[in-house]
Amino acid sequence: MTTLVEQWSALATVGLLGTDRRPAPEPPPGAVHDLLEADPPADHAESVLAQVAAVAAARRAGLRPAEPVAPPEPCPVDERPLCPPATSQRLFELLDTEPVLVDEWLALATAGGFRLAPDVAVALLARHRHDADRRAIVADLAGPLAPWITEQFPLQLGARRGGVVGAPAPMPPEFAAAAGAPVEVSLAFVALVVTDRKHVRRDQPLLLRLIAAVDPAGLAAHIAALDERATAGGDTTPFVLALLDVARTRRAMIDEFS
Amino acid sequence: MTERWRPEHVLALAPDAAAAAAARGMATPSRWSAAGADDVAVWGLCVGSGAEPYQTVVDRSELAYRCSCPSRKLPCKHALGLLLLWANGHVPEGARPAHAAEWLARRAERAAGRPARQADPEPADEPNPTRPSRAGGEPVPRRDGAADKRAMERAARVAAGLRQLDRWLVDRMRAGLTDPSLARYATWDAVAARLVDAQAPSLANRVKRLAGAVGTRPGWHEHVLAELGVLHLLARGGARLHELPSDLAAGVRTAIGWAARTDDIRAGAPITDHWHVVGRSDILEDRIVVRRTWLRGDTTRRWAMLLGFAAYGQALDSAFAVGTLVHADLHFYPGAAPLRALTGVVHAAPELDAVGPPASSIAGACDEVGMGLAAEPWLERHPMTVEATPVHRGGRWVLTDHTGSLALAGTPEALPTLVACAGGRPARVTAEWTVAGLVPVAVHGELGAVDVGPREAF
Repeated sequence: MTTLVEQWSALATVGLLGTDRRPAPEPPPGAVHDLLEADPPADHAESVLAQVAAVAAARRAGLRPAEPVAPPEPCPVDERPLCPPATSQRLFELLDTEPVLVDEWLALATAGGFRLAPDVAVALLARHRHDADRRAIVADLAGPLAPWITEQFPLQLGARRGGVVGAPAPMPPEFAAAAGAPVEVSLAFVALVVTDRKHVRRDQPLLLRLIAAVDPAGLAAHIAALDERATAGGDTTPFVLALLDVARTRRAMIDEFS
Repeated sequence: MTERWRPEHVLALAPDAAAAAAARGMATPSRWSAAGADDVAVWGLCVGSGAEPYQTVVDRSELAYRCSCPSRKLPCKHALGLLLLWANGHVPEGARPAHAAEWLARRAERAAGRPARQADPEPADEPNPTRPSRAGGEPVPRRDGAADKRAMERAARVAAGLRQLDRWLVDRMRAGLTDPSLARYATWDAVAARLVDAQAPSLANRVKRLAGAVGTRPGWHEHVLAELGVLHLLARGGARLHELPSDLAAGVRTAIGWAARTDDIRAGAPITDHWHVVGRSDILEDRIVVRRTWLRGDTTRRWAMLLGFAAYGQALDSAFAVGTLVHADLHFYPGAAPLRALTGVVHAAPELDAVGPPASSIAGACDEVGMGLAAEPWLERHPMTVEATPVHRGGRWVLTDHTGSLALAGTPEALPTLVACAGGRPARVTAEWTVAGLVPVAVHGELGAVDVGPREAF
């Protein structure tokens, strides 16, 4: 009894070579044979086409799985609690629009004793392949998942040598000092820079990093001060509003972890 | 002076409440410089976190957006904010700056290059882009002598085109697949062009996709041969629609590209259920991104597929997010294996799907998909949800359980995420069966679903 697989094999050979070179196979007794009898093809080519259509359709409808495969050694369980869902969603947004806040996000997750959701872990391992320091932080947060998944996808997730691609330049001393200073000092520094359009336009990326780095306890004061300046108006307003956005996002991010 | 939209209309374009709030935040005049509008577009510059202000343009005539910000959302908050700013009367008329003029010109080029009928839809099926309100009514279909005559003329054109296709298929069996003419795109393009002329656009797209498979990898000739067989089924079926049972005829019509009018579908009785939104895939098909959203009825256990389309710059409808449960009416298109549906009344806002969709074994899913293919052998994808483990074996990734295994065909981005979510243990996975293998679209867990579906974009 010719099986569908055998019928298909014969048809595939004729299909490849063409009925100008090979005759159409004769279908064995069964449904395909009856089909051709009911609607006789005019020649070998029509016969092959009809048989190909019938057998292909029958094979697709007869979809069967292959043999079961033994699963691998599963990833060891990580007992730490999962990052709250809002924080995972926040991270994906930050990666696109406010990457300057990602380091703090990682620090907050570490401080909270959380483990990364698997999709977040994969995204971060891929992103920080070239960056040994950040990669180490991500690996800690991902726990046993990090080596387990990296071993299976070395091309996409494995560490790469060659320094940090696109690493931010070190902050100039006055900005770094302001970031680490008491709230009043950093507030005064920010106020000084944002009053001058020439300065604020040139220094905006640094100001962003500064806002991302000031003491979280003083963040509310910075938001209030920036808000006041934005309301007061002036030609620096668009830049102040952009800083305000980042400050508010940062505060929301911190709240989501607590 | 062109008529301005109302702010409520603009906010209705936001995919969710958070996006609407972000758009409102962006709609302050002090954020924007060099803003202007004409009868087609709105443009402006917005200071953001980047070194340079973001350049934003909105094409109002076809609801398309462009912004240089890094966000991958479309429309982003800057685009919606700018539109809102314009709706509130804060944007003066003006001449297009270079960045706006360039992008609008590029859109016009792409639109001109598109075939006369895109992918699947009749014009009635595509979202009407000139009226932003979603509550707008749809035109009442004309049922008169002129429409019937046009329908008969169309049927004759299609039948003639299908007979011509069938003669070409018979010639391919005569000459064999090693015929060098098949290795040339021009051969296939000519067949596709004739099918477009015969008003069989879906068949034309199918032929063009097949062209790319010739000679690509071992076993290509078996795949191409089977696909030619499927084209034969559709060519013969399409020429004898009146002899077929009505459901089968409807399925053949859809596969050829002759979709029913949305008004007719909505007029039919809906299926009401709590629908698990179990997957999403965005595929770029010849200048259009096609979004398929897969739903599974909790009580009826029925599968449903929602289709959305977007041209270059247009946003895809994100009404249903993967991992939610929505109590709604769905109106199904007729067919022998009905999958495509339109959303009817939504009875409550979608909520987080904590329980998740029902799952089959691998063998059980094969039965289900097999039934679908037995009814419509030309189906190119069929959904399934299985409780299975992704495993690497013999150079391929498969999904396996104790009943069997099926090969995976995920994108390079999807596979690591899928494998990480499963962690080497059985996971609840929704995937699309395709001829090339299973394409995973979501992994379901207690905290919702992880969306791993393809994200092709311009």
